[in-house]
Amino acid sequence: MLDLFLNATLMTLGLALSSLVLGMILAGLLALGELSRFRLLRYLTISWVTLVRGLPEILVVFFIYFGVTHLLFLLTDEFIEISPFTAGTVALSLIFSAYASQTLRGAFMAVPRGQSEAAKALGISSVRCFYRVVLPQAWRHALPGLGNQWLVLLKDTALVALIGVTDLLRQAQLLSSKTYEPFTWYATAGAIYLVITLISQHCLDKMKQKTSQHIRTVDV
Amino acid sequence: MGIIVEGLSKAFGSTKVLKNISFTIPRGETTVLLGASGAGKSTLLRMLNLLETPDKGTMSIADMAFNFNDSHNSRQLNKQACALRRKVGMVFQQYNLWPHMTVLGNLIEAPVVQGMPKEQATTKARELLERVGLSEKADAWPSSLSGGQQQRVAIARSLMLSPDVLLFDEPTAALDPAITNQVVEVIRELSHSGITQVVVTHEVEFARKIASKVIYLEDGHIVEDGSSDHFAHPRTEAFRRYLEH
Ligand SMILES: Nc1ncnc2c1ncn2[C@@H]1O[C@H](COP(=O)(O)OP(=O)(O)OP(=O)(O)O)[C@@H](O)[C@H]1O
Ligand SMILES: [Mg+2]
Repeated sequence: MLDLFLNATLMTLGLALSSLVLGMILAGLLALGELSRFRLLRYLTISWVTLVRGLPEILVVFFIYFGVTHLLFLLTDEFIEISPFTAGTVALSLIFSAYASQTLRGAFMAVPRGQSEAAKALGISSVRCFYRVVLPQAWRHALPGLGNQWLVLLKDTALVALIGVTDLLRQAQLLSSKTYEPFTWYATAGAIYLVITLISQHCLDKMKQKTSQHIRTVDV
Repeated sequence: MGIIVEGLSKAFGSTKVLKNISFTIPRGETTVLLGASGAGKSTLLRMLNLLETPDKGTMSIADMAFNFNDSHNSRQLNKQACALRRKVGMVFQQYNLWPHMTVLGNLIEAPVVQGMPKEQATTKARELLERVGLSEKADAWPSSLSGGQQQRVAIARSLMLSPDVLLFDEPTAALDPAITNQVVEVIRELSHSGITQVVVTHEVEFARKIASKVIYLEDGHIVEDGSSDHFAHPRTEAFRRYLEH
């Protein structure tokens, strides 16, 4: 029983973490797209983000899993199966990136222009300026929002149970119907989600402290 | 050789901000750029380190010559601008210190990127902090300093690359009048070291205290250009009126 739950926990964590990594990369690209000089690229990115944010999460998951398989069939005339885990990761990272890109965009805009101008005036190249001056400051602005979106992502992984990934929720379901003890198993799953959330919260607080060390704190 | 500017013009869209500006600033002078809001002072100053690119004219500064009359390749210009900015420092109204780096970190960032060994940069930074009277603040965060202290750190930062020319855009506008004297002292001390300084300001009192030369701009034109005795004896009616208000 325990090892079943351990596996399911690892599955949930694996889904959440790989969606986080992929989602952050996508979010970075979307944020750049929205801040781009090229109007067409800006419009396309904004429309995409609006579309994804406008759909129910479960619909995105179904669309990626069933829709893409169907699409591949129409295109290639072959039945190519994508694994539920891959489909889940792609769907979750699309959802995550649509929200996280907004946080990132806001964070970049919150860094005053004068900051990079000062670097420019000292002959520092724009690439170097980006990762030494702009990025660390944007990161501090983005962290609280991204932290929230991570917690939402963690719980959205439960949606993937519906396309057959044996994550925490699905494992609880399976055991409940086998043993007729739904309370025990759902409560166990809930407790595990809660523990992961608490650990995340703790790590986020630590990271926040680290990024805010230069801000004068006022003791009350 | 100091700064020689000839026929410099700049428009943003259809508004002509600078119209055929020419002047010469000998090496080692402290020149004050005065003028009403919107006269084009900041734009002119920012051209001197190519944060703005002139549309027309020629410019010779810190032993580098630029000609904007020919069509120029923007990549090439970008590279030259980078080299120029290492010899022409700039101090901003809002200090623009990087808040996530300590005072020392702010100072050594640019020289270390440009290849100075870290120990050497640190030694130099400590000397400069001492020179602006902040030697005990090396490890402080910028946000823990007062405005006057932050501005002196910003000046020290711009001196790290040993520039030939230092540009100031309203360095005291965000400061208490009482604190302004801290900046006056630093600028005076620097003027003895032979560095060429160009200072944009609104404050006539501050200008009088530091200037060895004055340029008065109105609506994108130079109206008055001369030594600091023009403060006592303005040659044009417009400058006299400006000093009086
Ligand atoms: N990037 C820009 N794009 C468009 N117009 C600009 C830009 N920068 C400056 N201007 C315009 O150019 C004119 C001169 O601006 P500038 O900042 O040089 O004036 P200033 O003399 O420094 O004024 P202030 O004393 O208010 O700082 C103003 O009318 C301003 O609106
Ligand atoms: Mg200005």
